[in-house]
Amino acid sequence: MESKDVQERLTSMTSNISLPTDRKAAIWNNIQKEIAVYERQNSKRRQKTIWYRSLAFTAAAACVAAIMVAVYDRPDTPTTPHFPSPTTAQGKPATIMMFQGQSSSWQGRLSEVSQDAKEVDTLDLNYIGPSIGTPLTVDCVTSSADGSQMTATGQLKDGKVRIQFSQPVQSSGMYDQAHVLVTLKWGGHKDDMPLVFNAAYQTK
Amino acid sequence: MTEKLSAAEAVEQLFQLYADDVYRYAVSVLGKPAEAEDVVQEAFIRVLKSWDGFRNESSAKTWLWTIVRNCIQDQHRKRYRRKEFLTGEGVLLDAAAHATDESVMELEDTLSQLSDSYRQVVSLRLIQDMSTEDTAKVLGWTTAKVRTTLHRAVHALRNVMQPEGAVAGARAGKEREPYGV
Repeated sequence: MESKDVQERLTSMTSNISLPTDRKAAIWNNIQKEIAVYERQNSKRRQKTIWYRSLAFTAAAACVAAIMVAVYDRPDTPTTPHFPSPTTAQGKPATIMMFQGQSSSWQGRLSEVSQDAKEVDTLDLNYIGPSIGTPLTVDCVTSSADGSQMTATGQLKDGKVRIQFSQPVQSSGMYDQAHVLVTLKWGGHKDDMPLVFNAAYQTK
Repeated sequence: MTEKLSAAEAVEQLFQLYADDVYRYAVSVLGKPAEAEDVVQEAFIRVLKSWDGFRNESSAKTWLWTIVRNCIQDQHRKRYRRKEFLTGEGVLLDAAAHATDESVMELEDTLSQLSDSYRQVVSLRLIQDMSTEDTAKVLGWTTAKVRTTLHRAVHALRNVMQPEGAVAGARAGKEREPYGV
């Protein structure tokens, strides 16, 4: 018997085999029930997916909006303020011998507040502040060279921080000095927490 | 089916096209019409549930046949468990209980002497007339394995189908050409 004969014999054997009509109908009936169940579940699943997608989309949009607000609505971070040319109220130049600052604190030393004036009662510091936001308050704490406390008030006026000593600072000797701590507070930063810059000046 | 149909549409179309072929394949491998009917139903339900995952990487027919083959394997497992449960000694009590159809019985008589892998490859290649490549995909074999197994299966079938005298002659006689592979 040839190979082709084997195939022909098998084909003739199976040609009469088919799914009986009644069984076919019964099977199809069962499959249709499964289809109905499947489509019902699928529809629920699809609805759930749509709901989750819209939720995710809303959440993502809210996040983006929050980020946009945080980035664009936030006041600029104050840049480093500096006092380029401090002068006394009498117009005498004052030289900052050392002036260094960090983001949260400033320290400087004024020397030669006035070579002429032996007494200084007012100190003006030119102020170039951050592009946005101006100092809201200027707080001053002073101490004299001998350690006793003096009072001083500070205010921001015409782009200058004017420090008014309660009594003239005597500059009678090389080491006579007053230490002035100036605190500038900016508002409008994140969470409305003021940024605080401290500048300590020593007059000689 | 170039356009992706919905699962329900796909099942309907595939059922209309291939239900009888699936049944024939299942009968030829399992030998029992009742089990073959279960396979037909189970296979198309699986098509329904996994249609969304069908990626058109093979033809829908080949994909369907892979599912059918898995269903048949599950039937084998069920049969084995039933056999264990009923006898504990490996005797199938309900053998041929449903094989009332003469054609099915004749086919079963012929194929029952073949191993399961021979039956599968004969059913797909010779009865379903599937290509070697598609048969390999369905069975998860290499094409070489399909060819070799088919060759051996056909050789075994010749011995089964030939009259007894001719079988002796065949055993003693000439080498035959393998089935066209």
